[in-house]
Amino acid sequence: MTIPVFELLRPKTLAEASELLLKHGDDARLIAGGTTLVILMKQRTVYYPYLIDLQGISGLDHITADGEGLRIGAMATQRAVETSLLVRRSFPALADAFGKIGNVRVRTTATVGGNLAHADYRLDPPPVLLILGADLVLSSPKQTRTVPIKDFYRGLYETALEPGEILAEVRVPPAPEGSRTLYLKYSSLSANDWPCLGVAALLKGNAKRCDELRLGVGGLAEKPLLIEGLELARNETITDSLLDEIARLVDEQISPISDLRGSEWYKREMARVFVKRAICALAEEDPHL
Amino acid sequence: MKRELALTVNGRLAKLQVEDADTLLEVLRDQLNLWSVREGCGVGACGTCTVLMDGKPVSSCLVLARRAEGREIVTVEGLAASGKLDVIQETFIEERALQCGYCTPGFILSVKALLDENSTPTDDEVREYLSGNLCRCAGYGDIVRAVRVAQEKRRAGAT
Amino acid sequence: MKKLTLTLSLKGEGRVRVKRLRDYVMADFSVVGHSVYRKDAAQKATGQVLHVGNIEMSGMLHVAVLRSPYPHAQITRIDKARAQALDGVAAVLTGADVAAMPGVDPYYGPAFRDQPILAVDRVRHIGEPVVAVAAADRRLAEDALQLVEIEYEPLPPVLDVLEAVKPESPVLHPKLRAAGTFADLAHVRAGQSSNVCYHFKLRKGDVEKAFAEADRVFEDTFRSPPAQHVPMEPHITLAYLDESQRINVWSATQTPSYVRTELSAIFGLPMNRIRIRVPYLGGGYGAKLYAKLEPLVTALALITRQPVRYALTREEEFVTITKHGVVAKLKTAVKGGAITARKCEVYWDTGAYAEIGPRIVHKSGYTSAGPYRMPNVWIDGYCVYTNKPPAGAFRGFGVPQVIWAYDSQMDIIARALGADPVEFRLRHALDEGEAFATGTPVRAFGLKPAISRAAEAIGWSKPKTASSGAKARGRGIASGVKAVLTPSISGAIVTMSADGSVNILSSTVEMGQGAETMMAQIVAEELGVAFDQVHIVQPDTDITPYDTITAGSRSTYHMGNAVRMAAAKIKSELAAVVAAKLEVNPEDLVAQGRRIFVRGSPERGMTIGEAFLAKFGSLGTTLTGEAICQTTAIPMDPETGQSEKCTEYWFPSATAVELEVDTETGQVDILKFFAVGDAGTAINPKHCEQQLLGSAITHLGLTLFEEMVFEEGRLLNGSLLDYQIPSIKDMPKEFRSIVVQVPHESGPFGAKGIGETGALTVSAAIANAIEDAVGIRIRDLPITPERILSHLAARREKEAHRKSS
Ligand SMILES: Cc1cc2nc3c(=O)[nH]c(=O)nc-3n(C[C@H](O)[C@H](O)[C@H](O)COP(=O)(O)OP(=O)(O)OC[C@H]3O[C@@H](n4cnc5c(N)ncnc54)[C@H](O)[C@@H]3O)c2cc1C
Repeated sequence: MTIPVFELLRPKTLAEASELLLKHGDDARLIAGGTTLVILMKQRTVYYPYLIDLQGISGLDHITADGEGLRIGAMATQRAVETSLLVRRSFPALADAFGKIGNVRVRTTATVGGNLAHADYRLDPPPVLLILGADLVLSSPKQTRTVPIKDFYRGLYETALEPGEILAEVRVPPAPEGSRTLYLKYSSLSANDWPCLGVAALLKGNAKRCDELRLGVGGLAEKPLLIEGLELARNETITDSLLDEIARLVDEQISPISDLRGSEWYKREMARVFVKRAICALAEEDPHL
Repeated sequence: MKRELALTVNGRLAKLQVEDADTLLEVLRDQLNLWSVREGCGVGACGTCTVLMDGKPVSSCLVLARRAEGREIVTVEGLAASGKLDVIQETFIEERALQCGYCTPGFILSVKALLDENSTPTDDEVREYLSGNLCRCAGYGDIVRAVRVAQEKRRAGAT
Repeated sequence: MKKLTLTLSLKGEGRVRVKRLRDYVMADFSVVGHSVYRKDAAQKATGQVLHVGNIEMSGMLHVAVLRSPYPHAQITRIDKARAQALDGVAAVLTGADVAAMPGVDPYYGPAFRDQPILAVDRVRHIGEPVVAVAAADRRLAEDALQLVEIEYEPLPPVLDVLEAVKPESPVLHPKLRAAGTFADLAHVRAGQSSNVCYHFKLRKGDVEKAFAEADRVFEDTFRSPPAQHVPMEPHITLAYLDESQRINVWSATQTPSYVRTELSAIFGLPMNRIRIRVPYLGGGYGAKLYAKLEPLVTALALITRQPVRYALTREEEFVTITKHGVVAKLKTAVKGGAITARKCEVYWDTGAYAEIGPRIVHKSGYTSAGPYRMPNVWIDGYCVYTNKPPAGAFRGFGVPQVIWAYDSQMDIIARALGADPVEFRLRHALDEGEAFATGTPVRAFGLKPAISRAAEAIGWSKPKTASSGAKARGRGIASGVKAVLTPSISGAIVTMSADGSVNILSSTVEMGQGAETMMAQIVAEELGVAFDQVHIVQPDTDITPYDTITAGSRSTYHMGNAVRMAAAKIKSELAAVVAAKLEVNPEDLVAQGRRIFVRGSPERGMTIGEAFLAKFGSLGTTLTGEAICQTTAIPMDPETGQSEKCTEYWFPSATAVELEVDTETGQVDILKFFAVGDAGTAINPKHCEQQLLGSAITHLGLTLFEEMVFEEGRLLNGSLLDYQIPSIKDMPKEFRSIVVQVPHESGPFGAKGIGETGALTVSAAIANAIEDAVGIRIRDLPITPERILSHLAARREKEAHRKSS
């Protein structure tokens, strides 16, 4: 399979890139790592006469931290996040989620921005970013706006990006003091596969007393979801009946798509199992217990 | 429209004419005749087109050639350029870690990148790093052993 | 023992010294029985090995093919004018164009000539080639396809094998022509009135009487889905006309001789006007058997008069050849704790074109009841057309599908009777010389040792370690047997130069299995020369003799015998010279260490060079030996499947596994895995191990997750993003092979074959272990976590229902 001829445009600044996007409209698309786009172009599923290369724009691949949290440039590679000591120390689950994508070659080439913007319903990182309350910085010639990640996903392959807008940065605020996070990826076919589903959990407290619980799930609806209503767990002891109640809450909010990796029935079953496993693992992990 | 591209492959700078739509895999094979780089799936899943780009493994089928400009590309042809096999190649032979051999160059480059990054990987790290290189003759046990032997030899100073 | 050091040289001065593995030593021989290194190791490790994809020719055209979007449709119009007008496009070919080529038969196939080179009037599966473009480069060819317009009138598709056999089902091929190419398919008849293109029958004893008299009768239906071979190198073929206008083909095929015969039939040309060459293959596993791209690429080369190469993409690979999906219904009678009868009704989904389906239904069909003692057997095997991509042979030639059925049922029966599954199998396993269901006495039959060794390795008689939490642990075993394709033919030529170096001319294809190394070992042993003095000339139908096929675990026996006999002819010529000079009896001479000498007194003899000089008195001379190994079978009675000799030899197989099932997710974790196979003498023990483990892990994937998922005839997972094969992470934690060696009296040094043995019994062993772990019986492959969990859920529901009522 070859890619039909197109022209690669190589802007030097974000503003220039946005302008090119606006100028060419539906005839142009941003290319970040290219791992998804190149496949779709080869399969002739999509075709754009112009691809706008984000690689030549400097200052888009940073991973830095300050008092306000972590900042990851959209062009940082998935592998860079996975192996960043900064990320691993402060948000181990985030490093884990990026580290569980596809294979090392994909992670070396593909970017954070490309992953988030592609908006496939099964991606690994979004559930973790959801529980961490990440904000996405969207840039266009008119304005730079910040969108909470839970508002970024609109539907299957649909995001809040407006014409001409580029995802420039991901901002992750500091996690609540004393909280721990975990990402569980479950592949139902070969061990190497895309996820059947992914569950991210944040817990502050321990098995005896839950101060705060957050859950994010991937692969269980048309878009990644942040589970709502988890206040019910606050100040509770983590018992089997509480876990059942949480699982019920999750079950009400998800709407899994049957696919090659599991039917709707199976995904609902697995959501229950992995949500419980994630919470239990975090509860038992508390160093103060 | 074809445009000039200066590509550094195995330490040599090549001046080529390529389309923006050409993948690195196509250029390495069709223009530079580097036959160790092979298309197995076209979607980054099998690893037979693995090359090193600035020392890191990538699927050359997913990289646009033009975007590889200014990077150091290494294929298996570049490992034994002086006529002496790389210790990983030598070990793959000794440990019988190849059968049909179609996946072998990709595996060898992945192992090289792995050991360059991490000279003492755990079993899980080896499996994770190599999980994107598929072998249907399924000589995985021999390959894992070869990684361990190569690792030891490198520690003892072999290259 | 002599220490053998092998030096592998890389282009130019680079050399690497390789020490010899000490693990396996066979004292009697200096090369055979030793795990010498692969002949091709250095070129493979450097990537310099020759594949068809590396062959460039000036003016070479590239091919792209437009394929059917319908599972079944009439083609009503094709407009190719715009594509043809594109600059750089050399040819746009349709089925009608091929049919219009003078003297060309547009259909081909090894059993029936039912498959068009390009669809003629009708398409029968999604992905069927309809229009081919040859252009200056691949992109241009693909661009040109976009300009071709095709109109179809959809026809009702036949998608299910059990629907396809019903009389009211649309018939895919109203007329059929038998190919008549292979001796073992001589009984396959032409003519057609249903979708069953071949019906195999075996009748032994009186099954109905046995069912009537039985203590218990077991009835089960087992299914295995269509799947993919996934050789890492997709199919590729290059064809051109040489200076004398002969057709030259470089192809990644496992059957060079067959391809020549097929092209000769299609294009109406003498065999010597066609030359097929085969370099190294990046895997085959049965995908590259018979004609694939060669007819189309040759047609394009003939039309354009330019070299033409076609390399399939992985996506095209998926619609080119598949593994047969099978529905097997087994009914088994038991009386007094012993099996008295078995009736097998096996439906083989052969897809839109028969390909080698009839051979599979015949050769694998007759083993459908298993290698077990049972006085009454009834087998019906049906090869059935459906509107899916054609199915062919895949590592095991259909036998893994029937063993999946019968050895799952063996466990079901043993458990129901309260018998130990190992003991139950051993009690029923055929003994040496006993008759198989076909009436053929089994010979060199290491089935019982294979079962016992597997059981011993897994610690069958010892208690299992307990699992914790939601995990449950189980052990399982399975056994089975495959018979080698018979009759078949392998021809070989061996030449020796005066310096003692040797060339082997053979049409056996090296695709990773180590056939070249095997041949070199046998010839080196026979002629008493060093292993690295032997070179293999790769398949080239101009110079390498006919060979039926590189497949079916037949090469070591057949080609091994052929090269050994050919080498023996050279040895006897040399011996005659030496005997005359030394005035000794030629029978007293041996060839060893590059010398011919009197047995027991090495000083009384000559070097090979001296013997040559003595014979020819001139430098640079050669000796040539030629031999054919041809096995014969007594054709089976078409009504009863009985034959005193249906096969040349058997390869028994056993698998033992220990695994854990996560009862909350249904996930299976294989903890221990032993692949056991009877290879006869192991010519190269390390390669036997690799064949056993390689075929085992492939079938682990086929057991646990591999499946081509179709919806209305459309493949939903036709790329490696979605179709999963085992990765290094899927390898069982403890993963070993055991080579049982029951030598065959007429095998080369006692060897049989081992290429498929490790594949045969994997699926049933895993299903049996799952039942041991969690008490549920899975009868459909693949055994995905979801399938296990839904069985567990169904059981829970049933139990709840029972409790409440
Ligand atoms: C073999 C394989 C296995 C994979 N397995 C997994 C897996 O297990 N889990 C998982 O999560 N993912 C998986 N992926 C998906 C992988 O993470 C995506 O390919 C990747 O995220 C896309 O990133 P990219 O940088 O290559 O994006 P590109 O391909 O360059 O772009 C993807 C899309 O995003 C748009 N885009 C890119 N950057 C921006 C931006 N800054 N602003 C706005 N729009 C932008 C592009 O226009 C395009 O539409 C796999 C991919 C492959 C090839």
